[in-house]
Amino acid sequence: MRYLISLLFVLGISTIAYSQSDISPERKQAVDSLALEKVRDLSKYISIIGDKETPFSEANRVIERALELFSEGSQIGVSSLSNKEIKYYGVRKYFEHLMALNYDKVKIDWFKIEYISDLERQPDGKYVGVITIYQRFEGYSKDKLKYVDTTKKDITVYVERKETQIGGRMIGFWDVLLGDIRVSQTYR
Amino acid sequence: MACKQFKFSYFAVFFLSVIVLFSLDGCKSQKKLAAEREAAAKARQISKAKNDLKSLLADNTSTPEEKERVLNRIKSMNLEDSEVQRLINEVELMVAEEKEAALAEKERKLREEERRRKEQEDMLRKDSKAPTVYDFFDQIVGAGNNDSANDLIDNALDLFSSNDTPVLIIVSEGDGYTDYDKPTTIQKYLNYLKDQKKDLNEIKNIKFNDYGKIIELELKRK
Repeated sequence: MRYLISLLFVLGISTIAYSQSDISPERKQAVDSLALEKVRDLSKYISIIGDKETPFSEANRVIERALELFSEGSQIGVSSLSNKEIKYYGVRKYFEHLMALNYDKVKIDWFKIEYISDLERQPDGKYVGVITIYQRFEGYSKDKLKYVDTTKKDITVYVERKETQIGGRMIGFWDVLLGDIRVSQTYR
Repeated sequence: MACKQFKFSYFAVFFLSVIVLFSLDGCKSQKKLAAEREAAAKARQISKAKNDLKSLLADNTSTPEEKERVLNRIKSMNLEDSEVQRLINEVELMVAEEKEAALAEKERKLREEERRRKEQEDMLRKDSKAPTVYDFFDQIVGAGNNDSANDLIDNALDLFSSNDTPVLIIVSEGDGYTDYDKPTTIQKYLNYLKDQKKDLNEIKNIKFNDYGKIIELELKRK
């Protein structure tokens, strides 16, 4: 009898969890991967924008593409080893700042990109989660490494199911948008 | 005095009996009226059901599912009428046949679409001299520098009806659903391949216009 009650309890919890997510685990997994992929895309865009060898027009084009990944009004935190204060910039301002950094060569790599808070369905139907990344920044002047740090950042991710008409048929798609990027740790 | 009292009691009993008799008769009439009303309502329901069922049998425009919904509504009334029952059986048979035909048609269309897609793929691959959209995707991802990637993008765009040709990317699909990534355009997608240097998708479907230009590209996660 005790086993039966435990089983029913577990089944009940699973049902609640499933109904809260409202989509099958397979679909949810695809959405999780899609959101992670958007963060990886941003990582590449940031390294292109920061790269001093990227032509100015190309960097501007990539900025426009990167901006499409963010929800309006999002901010990105900037930290430094020499200053405890974390400054927050609007996304465009951050990219422009990144493009104009006073180094001869800049290398930016993102690694350990993973969820720290799974995408959860909110009462308004949107899914919200947090993805954490580690960023290694290297700034060179005359081929000498002048500054290096590693920053742990938390990126809020919003996913919303939308529909649009293309070629006379309705297309249901997941609109993934990135929100604020908050700095949680900075170290050498 | 006793005689007077007797007369009065007799009269009262008689009077009460008359009232009781009349009210009993009144109840009977009310019940009868209600029964008649119920019977009339039932008759109207049966008549309407017959008309609806006959309309369903003659209906050439509604889908089998739409017809089934009407049929189920009529069946839920549980009307006890032999003609209604006969018509229900006829409609049930018709809906089942129409459903089967619709399914066969859907399968035929899928097969036809698959055949057309394969033909298009073969056609695109046939001429080895002319690079195809498949070739361009690979070449753009592997381009050594920005200029060569841009040249490849310009050449690839010639295969499309416009730079804004929609590109749809299926991220997952299953029983009764297809989930896409946010739709993009071919120009943006080709630049995405150049920037990201990765191609996570394979071509699922290509739609052409009468001039052989691509008007829609459907991709799917590998």
